[in-house]
Amino acid sequence: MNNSEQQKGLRRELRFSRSKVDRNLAAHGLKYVEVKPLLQALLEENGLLGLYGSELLLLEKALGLGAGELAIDLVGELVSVKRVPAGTKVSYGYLGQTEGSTNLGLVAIGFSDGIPRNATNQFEVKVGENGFSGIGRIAMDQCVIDLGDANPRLGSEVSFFNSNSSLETWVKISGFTPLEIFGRITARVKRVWVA
Amino acid sequence: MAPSKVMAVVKADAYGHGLVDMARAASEADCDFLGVLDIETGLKLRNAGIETPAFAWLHSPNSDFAGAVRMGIDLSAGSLSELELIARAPGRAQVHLKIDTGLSRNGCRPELWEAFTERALELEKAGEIDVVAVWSHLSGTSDEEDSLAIQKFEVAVAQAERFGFKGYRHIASSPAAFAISESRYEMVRIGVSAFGTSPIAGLAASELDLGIPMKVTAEVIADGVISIGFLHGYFSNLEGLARVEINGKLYLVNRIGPLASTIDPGDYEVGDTVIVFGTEGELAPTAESLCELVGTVTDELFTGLKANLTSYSN
Repeated sequence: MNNSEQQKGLRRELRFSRSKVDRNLAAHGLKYVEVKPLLQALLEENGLLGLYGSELLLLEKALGLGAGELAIDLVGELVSVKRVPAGTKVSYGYLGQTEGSTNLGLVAIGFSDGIPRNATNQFEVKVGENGFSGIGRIAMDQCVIDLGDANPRLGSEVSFFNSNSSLETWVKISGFTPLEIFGRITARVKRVWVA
Repeated sequence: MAPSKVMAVVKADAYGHGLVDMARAASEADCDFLGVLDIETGLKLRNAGIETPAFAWLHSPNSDFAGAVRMGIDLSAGSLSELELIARAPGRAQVHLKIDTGLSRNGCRPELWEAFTERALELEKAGEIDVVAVWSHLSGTSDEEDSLAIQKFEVAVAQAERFGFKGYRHIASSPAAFAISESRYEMVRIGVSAFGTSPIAGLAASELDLGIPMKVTAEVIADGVISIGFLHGYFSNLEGLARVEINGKLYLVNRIGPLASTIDPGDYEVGDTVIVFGTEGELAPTAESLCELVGTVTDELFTGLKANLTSYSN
């Protein structure tokens, strides 16, 4: 469904799951074709700004924002992994510090891509099936994760909103609404539909 | 800032101010370099006809290093694997070696620095790359921590010099460039968001006509309702805290919805202009004061604003 493997450059993607959207819509007695023109707004820069309130509510249902199954994910790329000793300080203001010797991973997603900056030191991501904690101040274009002894290959995908609970965590920490967290994801992040 | 050269950093769509316009304005103001974060952003500037030297420092293994070299975009390297990928690109990449002086992001760890710089300068002698600079970032934690980082930086430069490094040095971004004169070296990196508030010689906001700092206005669209919401980038956690200015009076914002917000009743009519935030000295809050209410920085506000909402002050 997505051909991002062939593309050059840093991968920053907002993925919409067709199967999850279908399931969310079915729960409200709706079919994909009936809302297809509306879903087109998701792919356009500032597309949401032209919608009516009722259309936004329908989109929230389709995407599982707040209720239903979360049908979006924000995916970034692991661009650096390095071993550091215990007590290593991390990112601006040295708000993060490693407990033991560990691998620090650098992810090319930051608050200018839309993740809430105040989730510094409090967020979790997934690389493959494994969850890892964020460490240190979320910067404008980058954040750091604590990989422990894991050493995923460079270029691995890092998932930020991989489940309802992960989005709830972002909502709780940031004080933003689910629709807002989704809406804050900027144009630098490519919109793609996946199975 | 003289005699240091200035790199105008235009990453993140020039901090939400518009990449190409800001890059062009900075180039016309004789900025020496444009800081673009990634190669794709640099290539966008080249496609827009902007030929100013550019520097990219965040790479994927899939980044278009060959395109960067062909289009004259300088590249950071912070690990041996990155260095080898860059050296493999046809032509001579212009490389800035990054030392980790404490931020723990993509700089080379000090214990690996010697082998890293030795290899880089070997690649230079072999004609594969030019090592043009050694660089780093400061954490801004405290003056003491930044001084320590500068010491680490100088040690790293001295080590590189032992292998024949003859290039220039850059570590200071906007805050340090103004506060810590010894951090300026041969080049400083200034985020374009700082232009409006910072007295850089030859780079004042007025001279650049960048229209920074931003002013954002909305409109009264119904009784007690204004045309800005969280989908425009107005943080929803500002509700109950932020005020807006209409006709010379301030009104509390009670609720922030997706595309509109509600405010206290008062002396205004549909169609009146609402100042959501403005510049210093006006009644309306500034971007800085709004961000302080919710514990964040203006960069997060600016980069999250939707372009078709904002109007810029001149």
